[in-house]
Amino acid sequence: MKPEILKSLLVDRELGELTPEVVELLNAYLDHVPEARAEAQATARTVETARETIRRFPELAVTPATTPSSRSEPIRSWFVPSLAYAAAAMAVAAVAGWIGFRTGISETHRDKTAIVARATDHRFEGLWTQYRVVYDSGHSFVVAQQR
Amino acid sequence: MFRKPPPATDVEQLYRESRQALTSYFARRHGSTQSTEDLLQETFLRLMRRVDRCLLAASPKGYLFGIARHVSADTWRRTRPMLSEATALESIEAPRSDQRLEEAREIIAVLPALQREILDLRFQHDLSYAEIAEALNIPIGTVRSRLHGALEILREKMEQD
Repeated sequence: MKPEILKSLLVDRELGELTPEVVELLNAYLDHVPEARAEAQATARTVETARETIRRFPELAVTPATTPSSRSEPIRSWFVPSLAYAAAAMAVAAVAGWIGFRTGISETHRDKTAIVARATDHRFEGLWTQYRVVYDSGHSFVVAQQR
Repeated sequence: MFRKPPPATDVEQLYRESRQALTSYFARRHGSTQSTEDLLQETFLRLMRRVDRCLLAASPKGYLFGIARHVSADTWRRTRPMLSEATALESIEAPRSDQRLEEAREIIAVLPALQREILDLRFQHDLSYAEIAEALNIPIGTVRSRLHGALEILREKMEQD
């Protein structure tokens, strides 16, 4: 038997993870191979030391603060792309706003009367032309009145 | 080849079987900073919301420990601002013992968190490979390899010393 396989089986045996049939076969092997018996004793000592240490020192228990949270990964994987999308959307909006602003300025300077004229025309064509927005000085707010 | 955990028939039986183990689990993680009864109740409350999945799980006890682990983490997140990790560990530290165990403690303390958690679930709470895999939601092969790896490191370093 390869030493690595023997070591693994011995640990599994010490931890009670093997079926009785496998334990029986392993014990039979140990009876015939003295080197393997020495290995078995060393494994038993290591497992016992680990068990005693873990039970004696509660601070070795992983506290929730150090627990690798299974929830943190999905949140992170959802959150990071969302932030990236939000940042990209804001950048696009900012650029579009800036272009619009620049275009608006240049058009205003170029043809102020034409714009006013178009707006005036539209006001009497659309569905909402039956309403008129006026400033009510008595109540200091804007109201809509039917024409 | 490996031993399989006995199936739990219902929640009541699961409660009877796991109550003590979970109480010990919470006491070990939270010390006296939190009522273990509250945490236990919260665990079973969450279990009742998905009881079907628990009873169908490969290891109901492991599944329950998985819920307990989340309850513990959520509680810790709520109360964490009051305590740093070092303070929390210090507050539940046990008295020092012999040299051999001191050495082992130093070796285990620097192992990765997952390996320490597996060691804790195995040696303190007596969970099998299958139950640990269910609790941590990782493959059983990973549990086995990490546990074997931790024991190998422990043995090597202790033999060096």
